[in-house]
Amino acid sequence: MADHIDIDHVARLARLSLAPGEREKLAKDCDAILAYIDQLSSVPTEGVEPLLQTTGLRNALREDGGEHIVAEHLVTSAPRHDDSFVRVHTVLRKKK
Amino acid sequence: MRHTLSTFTEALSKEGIDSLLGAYRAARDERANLNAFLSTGTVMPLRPEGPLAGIPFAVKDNILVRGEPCTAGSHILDGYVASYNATVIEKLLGAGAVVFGKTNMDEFAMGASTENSAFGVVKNPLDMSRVPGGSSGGSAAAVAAGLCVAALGTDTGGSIRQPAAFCGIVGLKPTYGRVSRHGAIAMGSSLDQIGPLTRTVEDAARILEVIAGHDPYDATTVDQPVPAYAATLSKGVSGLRVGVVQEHFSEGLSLEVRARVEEAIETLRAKGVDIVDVSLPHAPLALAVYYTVMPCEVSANLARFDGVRYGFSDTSAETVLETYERARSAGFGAEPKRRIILGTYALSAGYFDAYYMKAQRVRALIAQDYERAFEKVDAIIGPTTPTTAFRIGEKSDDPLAMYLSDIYTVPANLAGLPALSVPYGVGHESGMPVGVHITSKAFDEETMLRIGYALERAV
Repeated sequence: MADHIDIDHVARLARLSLAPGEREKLAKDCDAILAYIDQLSSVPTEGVEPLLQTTGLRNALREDGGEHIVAEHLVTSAPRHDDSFVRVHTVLRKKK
Repeated sequence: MRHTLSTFTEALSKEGIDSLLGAYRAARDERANLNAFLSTGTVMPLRPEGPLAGIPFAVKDNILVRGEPCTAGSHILDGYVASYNATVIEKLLGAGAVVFGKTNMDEFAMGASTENSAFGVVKNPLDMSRVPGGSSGGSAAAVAAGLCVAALGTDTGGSIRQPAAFCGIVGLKPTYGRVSRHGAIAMGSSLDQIGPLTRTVEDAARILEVIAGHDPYDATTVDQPVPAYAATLSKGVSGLRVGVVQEHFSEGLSLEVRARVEEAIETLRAKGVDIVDVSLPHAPLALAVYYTVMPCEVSANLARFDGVRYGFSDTSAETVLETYERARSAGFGAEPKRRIILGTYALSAGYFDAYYMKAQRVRALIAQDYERAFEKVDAIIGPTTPTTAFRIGEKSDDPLAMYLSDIYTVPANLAGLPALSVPYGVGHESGMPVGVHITSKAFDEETMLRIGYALERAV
């Protein structure tokens, strides 16, 4: 395996814009780490179920209620807010 | 109680030791409260009769304390103030503890040296030219320097146990699901646990009694009875079977750490412990599994830091996409970016099975190795770290070398098992503390605490 990361594509997916020097350093580091984790590809795992979690708990349900009243604080934590609303910038821009 | 508190406020004001270490930021409300209490004696901690009444605690800065800033060591949380208490904080306050301050840490708990904080490097109080370990380095340094009685940390791959070993104190990672993660800023959600850093095994036992238990706010906590850990510490260790893992004594383990750990094993044998060789054949793969699974979980957890909901935001952004990209690019440091990129890549279309699912299958093999070993033994003993505390700057340019610091601690997180680091003397070359690592069966913290207590008595 030991792939090379298409750093620009992945950074776009991760909503990161990287400065030029930063971009090269990250790509180099990530390739070295990928080369290290490549040792897993040769481990036989046929018929082994993946261990996604360790407690074995499933569907831990509770009553649907709102006792945890912190909504006001949470909204005022937002860098841009108006009364009880979080403000965001334009999502779709008109084509010029 | 008043005496205890004034001792610690005096320690804090002495020649600015906290700023020298870079470990500590005093909690605002609590500082005012304390000053009032110490000068007039009129403001008392909430529960003067609680089991931890008046005990000054430090809390890693990725655990929410209502009304206090919570930075997780990152500029992306600039200006953020916690709106609620983490469950562990509610439990500590309910037991009478005093939250004395927040401690510096590697950014988003990513690191093994506490050199990766946006708020400066933390130093090891035993040798200021060395790192305190990480990522809970501020918590470990604060306890070791006597700036608090105990501290809370978080442990995703060793971040409580490794700094405890480097600073010569006790660090405990509970079984996954034993302690609520509600109000802890998530890093790797299938791996993270909160636990205590203390001067003694008994303190760790008493604190675990208070913070453990099922929490409706964390659906991954398990509804299991919480034993009275401190009461069983002195039961002794005679008749216990303790495993020694051959794979832990391979290349990479320094001679000075090896020598102390072998002494600890002989000490247990002399106390009537049956020492048994066990094998964890997949243990050498643990770090590769960890550095696949953890970045995947990181990339999902850190998606919430988007410049819209909390913390730092670039005011010049004009679209929501620019808001995201500018906040994340300016707000995150190098290590979170590295892990976000790796995780995003490993989870992206075409790579998910080859990386994430493959690693989770090898993770199952690692957990099965432990199950087989625990058919023969009650606990497993080994080194906490390959070396004692290294020098500041020694590994900061080489991420892989830094990651190797976690080689002995990561397997317990992958398998969800409890583990404890106990100081056992100092290395003959570095003169720095050596940590002995004890792992026990899931939800059997009692056994590892008993073994740790016996070792502590023998030093």
